[in-house]
Amino acid sequence: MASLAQAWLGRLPAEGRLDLTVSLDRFPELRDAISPPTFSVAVRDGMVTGEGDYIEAAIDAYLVPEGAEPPRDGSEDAISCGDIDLDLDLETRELRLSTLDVPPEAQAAGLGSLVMAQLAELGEDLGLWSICLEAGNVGRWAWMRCGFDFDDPAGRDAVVGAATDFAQALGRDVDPSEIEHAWDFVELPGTVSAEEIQAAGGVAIRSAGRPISLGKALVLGPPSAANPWWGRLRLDPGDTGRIRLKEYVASYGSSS
Amino acid sequence: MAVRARPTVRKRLKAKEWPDQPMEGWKERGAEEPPPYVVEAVRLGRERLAERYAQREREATASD
Repeated sequence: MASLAQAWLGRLPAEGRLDLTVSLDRFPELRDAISPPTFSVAVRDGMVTGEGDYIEAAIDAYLVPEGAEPPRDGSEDAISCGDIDLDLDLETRELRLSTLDVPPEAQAAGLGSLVMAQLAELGEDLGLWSICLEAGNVGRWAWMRCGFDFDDPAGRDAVVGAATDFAQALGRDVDPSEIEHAWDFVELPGTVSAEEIQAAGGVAIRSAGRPISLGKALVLGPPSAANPWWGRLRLDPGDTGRIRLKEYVASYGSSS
Repeated sequence: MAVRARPTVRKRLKAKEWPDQPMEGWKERGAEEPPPYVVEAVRLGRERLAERYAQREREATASD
């Protein structure tokens, strides 16, 4: 059993469970992994339970920017906060990420990939094998860049099929059918302009005046409903996806 | 697996309904760069991760 999992077990009281709405500080590794630096965490719901050599945790929380007030559920204040919802356990050795949203004005700045890298470190320390999620909206592209791979052939087929259709609409001579891993889209050579994407009937992608990579266009150009995919990041330090995540976080901002 | 004495806290991932437009955050709002508090959080986080990676590297080297 990983030493951090052992330590968490040791922090549980005799009844084997702690409510994270009042006891998150007993698990600083979890608190620090789910939130960007300078943000605080306002837990809506959460629990750590364990016995013997087993432990599991679930947390649903607001990520509150420095200087902002923790929101009351349903209030307008919640709009300026991020949101995370995950659970993990030592039976499946998975961390399942249901939600990771950063505040709207903070999106596309590297916070999501940063939290993902923190979660990967936590997962490795706990002895987990992978992180899984459903990649939708801008996450369809963002999680490819962070080393997530297709978790099932159907997801891969949906993404490749939508990309093939959109490549034709763009008039680009590219055949995505050879793509095996999600990150292969990141490696596609070539760029597209925002105007070309719109002319092809694609969803508008803001580019701050820079060209958009062809892979990004083929994944985010189709509507969100066409190609959400289930993704998995393997936490083995030598896995290609994990290495890609580290490299991406280190190089964030050097490309779009 | 043995039946556990306590109720599980585990949830299942469910497919979501996604909006049609991808969000592009601060770019969407016409800003030239992200808000300063975001830039600072990313800078600090990257520093901490770099330290963490270096520490793991040292540990791996020491155990070889």
